[in-house]
Amino acid sequence: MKILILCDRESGTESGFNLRLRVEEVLKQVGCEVQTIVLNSDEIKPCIGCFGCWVRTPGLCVITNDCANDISRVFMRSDAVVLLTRITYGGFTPDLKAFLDRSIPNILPYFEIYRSKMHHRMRYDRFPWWIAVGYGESLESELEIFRELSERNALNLRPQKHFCLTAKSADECQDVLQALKRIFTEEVGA
Amino acid sequence: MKRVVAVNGSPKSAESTSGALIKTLEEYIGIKINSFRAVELVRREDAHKVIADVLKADVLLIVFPLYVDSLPAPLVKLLKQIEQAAKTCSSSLPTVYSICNCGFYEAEHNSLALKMTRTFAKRIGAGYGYGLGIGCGGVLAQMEKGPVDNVYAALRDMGDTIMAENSKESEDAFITPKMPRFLYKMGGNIGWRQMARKNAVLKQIKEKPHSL
Repeated sequence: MKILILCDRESGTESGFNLRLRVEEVLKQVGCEVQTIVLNSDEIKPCIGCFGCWVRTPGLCVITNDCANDISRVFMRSDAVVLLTRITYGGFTPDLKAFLDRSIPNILPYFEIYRSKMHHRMRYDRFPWWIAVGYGESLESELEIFRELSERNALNLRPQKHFCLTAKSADECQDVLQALKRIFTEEVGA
Repeated sequence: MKRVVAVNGSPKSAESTSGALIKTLEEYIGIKINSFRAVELVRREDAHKVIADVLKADVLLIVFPLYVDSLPAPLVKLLKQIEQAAKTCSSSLPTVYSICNCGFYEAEHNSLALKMTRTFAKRIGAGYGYGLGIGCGGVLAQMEKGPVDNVYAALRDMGDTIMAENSKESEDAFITPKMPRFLYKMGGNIGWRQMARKNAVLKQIKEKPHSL
């Protein structure tokens, strides 16, 4: 399996625990091919909501002087994407969010009704597995929002499978590693 | 007189729905709302000065479009900066209100984004009023009356609450213009096709540039 790890800049230093490195190790151990991209919101231009990626250069962002289109290419060609983010008010950090905002070229502009609500139609036949891993000292309400967000993202992006894991401490980071190991061992073994 | 400051979370440089909503609210409450664009403020060298001043207001209004089920990245960045500044702020913090609009029909798509701004207020130790989620955000720029009357009524309700002497924290409110969903969906899809045709890419609209 080809896995893309998208992570924020802090994910290597969380409470003295290099979550990014450990996740990489675990995924490689179970036989996955892993690529990591550390996102930096200062280097990714904000999405300006122009819809050019839908009606001017379909499938590609019109902003071409940064790395967003290149990351999208790696993203869409992966089997699974692991998003490592510090939970921020229940959502993603600016590093992660800067790219996610710029990833809407990967779906279509057209509306459709899916599970009783309006969503966009899919551009690609398949969307990589979506594994949101939120870390950091979070309030209970933030963890709840983060889990709900993962469900909501899955309704809008329709990955074949999606998972949400959270870790408030270094100990819980170990649990996340175990969970990732289980998820991918089953898949690689299948 | 209350001092109301707004953060416009739309990364659009001109004519954003968020900007129009702030203007409408300003006209209704009849006092000047000092408004800052998140995308500009995070880049300003004197951001800390502006933020220190924002924290002295009575009301902080956060108005933004829904981006991928949550807040646009520059707005999250700005809220983090405000959170930092609030730690050393000695005066009482403004009461936070938020308005989120989305292009989908159902206003409930905005619910998580509004929970996030409520969490932001909690994190900085500020009071929170409520959030207003608006569906079919795109039509607000095209219509002033009729189906959107209920949206403007909800906006006036928020204006009244903001101006009231003692406002309490309450549940978020959700409002979608009064029009059938099938019509909004059909109109939206026709709109996308028209825009693509104008750019001579209608045939390519479903292109898959990243396919292997």
